[in-house]
Amino acid sequence: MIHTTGQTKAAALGEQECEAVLMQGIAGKDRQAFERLYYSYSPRIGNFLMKLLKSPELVDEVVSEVMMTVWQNADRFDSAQGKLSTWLFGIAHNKALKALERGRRHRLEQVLETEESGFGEDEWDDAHAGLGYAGPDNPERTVLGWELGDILLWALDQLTPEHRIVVELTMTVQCTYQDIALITGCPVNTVKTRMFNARKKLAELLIKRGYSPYDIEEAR
Amino acid sequence: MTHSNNLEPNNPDHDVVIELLPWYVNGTLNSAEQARVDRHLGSCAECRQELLLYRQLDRQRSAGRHAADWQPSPAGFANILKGIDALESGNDTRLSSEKTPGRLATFSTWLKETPRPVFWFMSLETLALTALVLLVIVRLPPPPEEHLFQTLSNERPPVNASLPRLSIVFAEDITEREIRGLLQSQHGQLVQGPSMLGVYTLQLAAASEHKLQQAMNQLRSHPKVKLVEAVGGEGRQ
Ligand SMILES: [Zn+2]
Repeated sequence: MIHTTGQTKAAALGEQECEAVLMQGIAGKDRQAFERLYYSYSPRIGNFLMKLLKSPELVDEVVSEVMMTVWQNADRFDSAQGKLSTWLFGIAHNKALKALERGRRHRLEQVLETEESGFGEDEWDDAHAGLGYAGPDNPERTVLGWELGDILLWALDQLTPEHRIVVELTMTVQCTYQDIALITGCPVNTVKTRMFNARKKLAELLIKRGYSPYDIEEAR
Repeated sequence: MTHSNNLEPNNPDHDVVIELLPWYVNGTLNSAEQARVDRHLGSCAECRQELLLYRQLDRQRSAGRHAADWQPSPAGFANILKGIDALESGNDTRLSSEKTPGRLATFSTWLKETPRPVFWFMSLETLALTALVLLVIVRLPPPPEEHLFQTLSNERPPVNASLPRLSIVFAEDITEREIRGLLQSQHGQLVQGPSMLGVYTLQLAAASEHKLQQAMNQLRSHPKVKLVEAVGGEGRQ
């Protein structure tokens, strides 16, 4: 998952063997091996989940779900098919998607409770945009008072879970696009397209809030 | 494939490079790809401009990349072990005839013993779903996907390249019956899967773009379907 240029082939092979041994241990219900896995891999998974879910308590829950899935399915890991981190992020990705969907449904219910029903997709987007986020709501304030970082954070929150996950796997976890394809179970072209569409959506959102995404360098 | 505002439509590099930029910024391209992007950037203003937003995104994300947003803890690990103990003590009673209530009781005890406040914020539906997922894992010796695969797509109908295919991920608690219903309603067949990550390939009879989109929308709206993607791209305009 991490950029491995410069790593010797022997070292990579050693890593693959280590991962296989660790997972064999866990498949054999070795709790010390499981603990090693938890401390070695959960920090990166936890940080990825924090970017998506925001709440440490929620991340605790999802990390637990991931770890319990690993405990139950360790024998299904095949080091010949890919790196352990890719496999783990694949599980985390599924759990995160579910948690995001739960959150989205919950927010939608809130919106529907406070407004009349009969939202179109765009209207829902707008309502959603103002809900639960300290988002920049009027363009003037955007230009005057909002740092670009804040606006980007807000805009990232508006992306669909699928787009959001590709952005975070790229920028936060620093995955290769090939690894993202494995993690999300999508073809490489879909990963690239999602990223491209996410960027397009981000640029649109910035423009909508009165900010040109291409003034960035000058603004800093 | 054309992207809007393409200033160099005749440059075959452009379409490839513009899509590689995010991974150029995160430093994970191989050296050949990196050299290709470097070369192209020298002559393409549009790609240089695209790079700005990705750089900004990267800067935004790298700020928190190494910060201890979330950290593993002995308490966190102890809690996971508790959950596993609950599951496994349930497993020990597998041969008893009252296995399901017994396991549910064990699971709810585990929940009650879990002190973290987050459980009180979890919806009842989520709890029920989690319980169900755990029960499915405990009750079926072969993992659920494998079980479904054996019964639903063991014959492996041949992959027909002219027919549209979808990658599909089902919820862990989907039943065989529900999958059958889904396949029948879409005139589809599972031709591959599950992958290591639980992805199946679904082949549809519908050949038109419109029908495919319709099928994808219907599948996506099914509560037990987690992910649906067309194989070979998500249909860019
Ligand atoms: Zn270009």
